[in-house]
Amino acid sequence: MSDIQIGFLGLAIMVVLMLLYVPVGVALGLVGAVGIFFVLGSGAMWGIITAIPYDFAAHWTLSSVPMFLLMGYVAYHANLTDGLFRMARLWLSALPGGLAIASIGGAAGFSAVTGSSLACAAAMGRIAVPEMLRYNYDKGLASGVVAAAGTIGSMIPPSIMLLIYGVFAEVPIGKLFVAGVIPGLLTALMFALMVVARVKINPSLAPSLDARPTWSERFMSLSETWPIMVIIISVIGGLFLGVFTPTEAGAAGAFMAFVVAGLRRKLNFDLIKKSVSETLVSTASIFVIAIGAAILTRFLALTGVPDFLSDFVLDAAVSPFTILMGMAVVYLILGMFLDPIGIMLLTLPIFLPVVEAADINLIWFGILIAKFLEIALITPPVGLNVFVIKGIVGDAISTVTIFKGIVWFLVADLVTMTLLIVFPQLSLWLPALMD
Amino acid sequence: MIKRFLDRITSSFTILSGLALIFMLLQISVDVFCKYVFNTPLLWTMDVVASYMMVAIVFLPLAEVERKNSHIRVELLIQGMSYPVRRVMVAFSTIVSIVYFAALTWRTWGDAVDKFHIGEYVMGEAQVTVWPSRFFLPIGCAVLVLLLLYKLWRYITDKEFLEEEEKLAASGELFDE
Repeated sequence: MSDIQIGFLGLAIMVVLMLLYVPVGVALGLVGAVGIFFVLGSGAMWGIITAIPYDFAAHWTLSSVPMFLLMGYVAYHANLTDGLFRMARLWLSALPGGLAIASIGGAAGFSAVTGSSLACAAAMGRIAVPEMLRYNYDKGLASGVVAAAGTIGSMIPPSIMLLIYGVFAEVPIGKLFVAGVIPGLLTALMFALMVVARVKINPSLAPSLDARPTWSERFMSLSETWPIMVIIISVIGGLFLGVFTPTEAGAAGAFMAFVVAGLRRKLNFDLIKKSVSETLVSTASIFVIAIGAAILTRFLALTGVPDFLSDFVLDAAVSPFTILMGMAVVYLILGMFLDPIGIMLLTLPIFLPVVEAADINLIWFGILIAKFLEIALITPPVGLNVFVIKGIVGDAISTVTIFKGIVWFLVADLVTMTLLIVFPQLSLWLPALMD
Repeated sequence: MIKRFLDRITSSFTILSGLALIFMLLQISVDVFCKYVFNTPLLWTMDVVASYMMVAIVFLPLAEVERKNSHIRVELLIQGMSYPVRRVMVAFSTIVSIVYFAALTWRTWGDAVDKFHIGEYVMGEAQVTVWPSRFFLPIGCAVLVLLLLYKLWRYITDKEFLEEEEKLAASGELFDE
């Protein structure tokens, strides 16, 4: 059997193992290790499974993963971001569907504190959905907007997804993060336009609020949110100006989140315990997959599968656009049954060489992957964000209603995705300013 | 008995890595502060964070991840299966995980012992001895293997064990990304 055949056979076995409920990280790592045995023998196999796990964990750039996770969990458990929704509400309530737009604004704000879409959807879900239902908003709109807006969490920095992508693709994390700002805001803007359009056409979806907040009320709301604003501006600003490395930005952000929680008298042992334990479990489970993916990458490189695929793509003279569309389809399909970071780590060993061979900009590609996976988060039948919202609203809203509410935002997301593909400058302009 | 023993080691390891996380947070924060306020960064931050704290944070909680059933898996196929088939699938996946993590435990233990004999250190801006951190890997993986062996034994001998776990998972945390 040739090396390439071993490579493809390995990939097939890996898929079977995953379907048989073997943890994704184990399937990747085991197939990678055993595959290396068949290509190079036992010495190479033992060498790689000894070296990679340690080298991958003892990694300065990746140490920002637990820092950003911690910052997000502390902010979430201390309710630091509820004020963002209240503020967005005071400023935006005059618009049609004001509360729905306020939850998009709140989610965009919280995105700057958390790297996770799910945490973002949960944070806005628990505060914004009950408010919207109280004002008789359409149930599908109320739940759908929050599930969709939560996805902004993996685009606006910090983003765990982009961070891990950056390490695998060897792209500077700071630039990657900064590149996500405009696409994230664009996503929010498209969602907001969608809400306005739908409510204009059918005002019964979102009855307007009677209270008209005064300007002094609006400025008063800043007093509640300024600490979180300071965190957001220092983290993103520090990254943009190159003052902070990602790890430093994460640590500074987490530290400030603790301080603000303390000032709000929310800091107690229970909060620390919960945030720390969730951070550890998330970090370890992400690293198990990342280590498996690193072993698999070595294996595939040895078999020549990536070269084979990139030659195939180059020989067929497929345009970058076609390659991207093909990958988008793969992501949408995988998104139906696997969590986003798992999908990314699973596909990068195969996709990255092809993307590099086709001379596609790696920062731009990272943003597109994040966008594809964001969409996967809200696509039926799985749509993890939908289940987060379902968990919050309980029996009040059915899963089908949430999915129906989301369809509109999927349309908005497709527009955003098209814009991002057609105009790479949306992703590349800001990071270019950093040079 | 065994369960309580495993639970206790798992939680102590989680607490240890929690302390590593907090220490890492404080250390980087102090480092940033010193760097920008006094213009004198701590010499060994990068090496200590990477070699010790990160390795502890990643490997010591492995068993805790398993206890919370938070390892990321594909649920597409198993969802539609009957309970007996699910039990077989879960037992199979546990065996595969045991093979993988046992191999990791064995190899990284040998490696850690080698590095101990060499007295491994890194030469960054300051010399930092790193060999002790090599032991976090085999220790963390070993506890995970023990827990997996225990669970496998329960899956095989106790028909209701998986059901209890599934119920627990349904009532558990909402997100773990």
